[in-house]
Amino acid sequence: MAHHYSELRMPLVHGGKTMHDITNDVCGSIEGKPSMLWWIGWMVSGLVALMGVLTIGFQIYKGIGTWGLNKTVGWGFDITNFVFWIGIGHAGTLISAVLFLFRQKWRTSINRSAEAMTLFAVMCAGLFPLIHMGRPWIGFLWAAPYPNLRGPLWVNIRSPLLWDVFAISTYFSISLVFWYIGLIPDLATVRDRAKHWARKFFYGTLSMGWRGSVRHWNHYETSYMIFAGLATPLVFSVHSIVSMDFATSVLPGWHTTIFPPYFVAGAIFSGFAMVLTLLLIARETMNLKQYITEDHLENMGKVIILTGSMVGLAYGTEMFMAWYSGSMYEQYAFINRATGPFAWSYWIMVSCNVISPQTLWFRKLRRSPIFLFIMSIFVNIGMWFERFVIIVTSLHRDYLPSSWAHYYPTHVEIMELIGSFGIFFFLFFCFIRLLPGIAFGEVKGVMKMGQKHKHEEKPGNDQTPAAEVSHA
Amino acid sequence: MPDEENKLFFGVFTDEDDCLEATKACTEANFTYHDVLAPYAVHGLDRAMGLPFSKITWVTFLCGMMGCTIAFLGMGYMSYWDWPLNIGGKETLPVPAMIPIMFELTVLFGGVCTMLALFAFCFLFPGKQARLFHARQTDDRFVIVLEVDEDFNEAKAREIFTANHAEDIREVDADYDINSGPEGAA
Amino acid sequence: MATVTVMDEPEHFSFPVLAKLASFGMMVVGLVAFGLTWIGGVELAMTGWVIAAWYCLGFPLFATLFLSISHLSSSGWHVVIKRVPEAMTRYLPVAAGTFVLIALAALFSNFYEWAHPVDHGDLHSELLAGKRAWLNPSSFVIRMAIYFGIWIAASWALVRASRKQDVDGDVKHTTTGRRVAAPYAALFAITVTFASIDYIMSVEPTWFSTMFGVYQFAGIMESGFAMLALLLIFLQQTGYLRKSVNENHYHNVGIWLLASATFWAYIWFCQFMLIWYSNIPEETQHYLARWEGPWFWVSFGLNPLINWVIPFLILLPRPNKRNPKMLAIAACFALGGRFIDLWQLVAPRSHPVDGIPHAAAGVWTVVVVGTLVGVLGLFLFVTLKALEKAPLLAKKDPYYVESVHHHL
Repeated sequence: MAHHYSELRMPLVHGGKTMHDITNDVCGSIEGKPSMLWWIGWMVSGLVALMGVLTIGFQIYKGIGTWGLNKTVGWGFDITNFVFWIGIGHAGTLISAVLFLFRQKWRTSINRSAEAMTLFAVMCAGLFPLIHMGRPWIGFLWAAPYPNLRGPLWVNIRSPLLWDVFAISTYFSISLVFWYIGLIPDLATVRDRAKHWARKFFYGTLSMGWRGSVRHWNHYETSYMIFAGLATPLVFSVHSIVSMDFATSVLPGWHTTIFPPYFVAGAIFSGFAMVLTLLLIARETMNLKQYITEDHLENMGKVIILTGSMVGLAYGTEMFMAWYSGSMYEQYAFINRATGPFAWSYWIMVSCNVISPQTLWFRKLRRSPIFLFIMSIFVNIGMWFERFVIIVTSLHRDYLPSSWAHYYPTHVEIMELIGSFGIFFFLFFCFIRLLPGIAFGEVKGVMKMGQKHKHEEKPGNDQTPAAEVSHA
Repeated sequence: MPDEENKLFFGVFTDEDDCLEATKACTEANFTYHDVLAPYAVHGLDRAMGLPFSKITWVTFLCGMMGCTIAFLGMGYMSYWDWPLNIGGKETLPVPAMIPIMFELTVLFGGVCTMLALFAFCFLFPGKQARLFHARQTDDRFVIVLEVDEDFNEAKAREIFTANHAEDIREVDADYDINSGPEGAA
Repeated sequence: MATVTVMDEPEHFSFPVLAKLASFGMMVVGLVAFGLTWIGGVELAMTGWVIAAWYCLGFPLFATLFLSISHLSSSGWHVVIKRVPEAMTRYLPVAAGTFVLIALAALFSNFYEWAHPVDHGDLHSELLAGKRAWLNPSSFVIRMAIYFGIWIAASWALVRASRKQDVDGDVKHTTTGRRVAAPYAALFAITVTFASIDYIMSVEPTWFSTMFGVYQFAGIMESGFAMLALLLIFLQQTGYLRKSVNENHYHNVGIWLLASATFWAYIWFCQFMLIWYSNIPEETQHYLARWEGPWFWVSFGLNPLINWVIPFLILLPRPNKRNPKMLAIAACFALGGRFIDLWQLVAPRSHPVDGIPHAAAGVWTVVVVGTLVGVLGLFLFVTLKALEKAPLLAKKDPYYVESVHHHL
């Protein structure tokens, strides 16, 4: 088939790589001995994760009283962390599914690690509601839809918290399936390169005897399209349902109809920031600069401005509507956010989420890895504070001034938050050692973009875009 | 059984465009395909082979509908029939509140069944031995394998393969597999 | 460019006489219907007019956003059809004319209850007084001028860059388009949010929903893609773009229509469900007026059915997206659905103003549709007239080659 690409299309992979080079580069990183940097990262994150696990053990042993929650502020760090991690978990599926449907070919270099990140983030997210139950081992009995131990009484299907159980388990399952299906052809390549029997067995089992038959590719491509089609509304639904935990209430600051799309935009925003953080590290330490190029970074920077501005618009709309509604409770909730005892968190949120991404309107800054790295950290902080602001500032002063209270997180909560980062990074470090971190099968499929046809002229140079060549 | 089955004739290509052109030519010349192998999904190669669109969409659709129905009936049973409760003054069959779970189960059933159907349609299972014609068939080589049946015209096949820059052309036994010992190895 | 296939099809569109007559006919029907609605009073007449003007304003707004999104995502497939949205944007100045009537209604009539509030000394009046800073006729008119200023300026800049490229084929015009598109996308979001509040939400000035701007945006996108599909099919039926536009382009438009219909359903459902669930009186007033009586079947039956269920089921199978007939049927449902959606938003009111007849009642419905037909005729006339002004294919667009060979 002829490849008809516009002369404006640049090659997605730099360095004039052949297909075999790509296989060697990506598989090489999981076949050779890990680098020193990897060992350090793995050990440090493992230790932090261990600290987190021990803290959780302590908290379960002693009880929820080790947290700083009180009768008024019943949700604090726990649900903030939950929403934060779920949000992070949205970028992976977005990159895989939505960008696939939009035919944004640059997704191929980053989708595998972004999807892995999704799975680990959802695991971290699921942890917090579970430990919030206090006795997580009987959590199943409370959340699963079967007559529980208090007689034939069912779960409350009207509760958004139950919708969450369904949404998150579906999201995890479908993300896992989507990720695994995408991995199979790459695993087959790793299997066929394996020398050691253990590697042959491990990758041979996982790759299910895939051999690249076009009869299989036919079904495979259709199912991949289906997964993308299913996962796209799923991404929307999951964070919408998470937002309904708040929006179905009557609490000013929680109940607002824009929450579903606003939470989705925020989730994509924070997720892309976390993808940037991870990929900028991976690109430096794993020598992937020719795969994750400045063009990829720039595109991700654009998504960050887009979603950051949507989030900013939602903040503005909420503020405006609180005034417009004429309800004094609504108005107070927002004045309290900006000027009350938690105003510092509100202004951290606004400056990190709305103001700082606007710097990315400048192309130079969008293409600077160091600047993007700093920016992504800012956005991560800002998005954590967004959830904190929504949850805590709305709760701590509600309709009844007599019940107003303050909230101080304890060491246990802070250590569990840090521990969740440890778990997340530890899993990610394991992943990039065990499985191909770049979907090289898909990268090979978009190699022709910006390159000349090999039998007509020499392969395209990495810097200059080749002119459109076709032999229709 | 090599004696009863047809021998195989295959060509190895190094570029997707060559493989695609050769496949188109083979389809036109009415060769019987044993298989065409590609390391990644080449756009249009399945159509060039004359394969119809995958029917897997039907599995997704039907299983998705099943998930949706199960969710509706299940929740209806719990909240309307088995143990109706007044919660917040809402109906005992609160349809708007049921839609999120109905949607989730539609996607869950549709997605998981699609995966199972994919494995079934392709007959893939953990531990299955992959049959390879070329050591780099999952890396950067494209292989067109034709059946040597009564209508097979070797000269024509060789001509198509050579015209499209095949790097290797050979005829082998029906059970050829480079994984299955020294006699098969390239 | 090595090979750009030469198409043996007319390069320029000429407005068929029959279509011209049809659009004039529609305008006459509209004038008659609009005249008749004045029998029912200014409020009834303006109900029809606001629906019709906002309905048709959606098309050029959609077109500007479609062109901007295409620029921002470096998409290539749309080049062979981009003259159609470009022509649609030419309706914007005319739309500004249709909105003058709405400005007049705000200045001189009681169609918008907030425009000339009567102080009854009750909570309702107090609420209205609290919103006076935003909801007053003079700032309403000023905002209208700002919105249209932004929309017209952006559409002009986008189309101009594309026309210049027709002449010299310079890539820099694509860059210019991209530079316009990025800030415009942000301005679009803000202006459309507030315009929806001004023209539609403020019909019930005590009701509010933060989702409302997104809700209208979703409707604009769905009806916009439907109109784009219909115009493309019309062009092909009359002998234009026969070779350059094929089922692959329809497929893309079909996917977009399917996606935007589903997005609309998502937003529509979330807004309703959250208000139904929380059951806060100042919000439920809006849905209560539609939950009881015959409006229920319009708001909660017909509306989701023809806006989402039917187009969704039609467009789900792959062959239907590639089939102009099926695509046209789905698009007609989506366009009908947009009317139902706006009609059930504007016509019933939770606090009916004195003198407003039940705008849903029997014959008035038909007459209100007549007004819409008239403005639609105006839109079609302006768009098709604008389509004559430039060659149908932007052959010098750097993405043209991708668009011609677009394949799904």
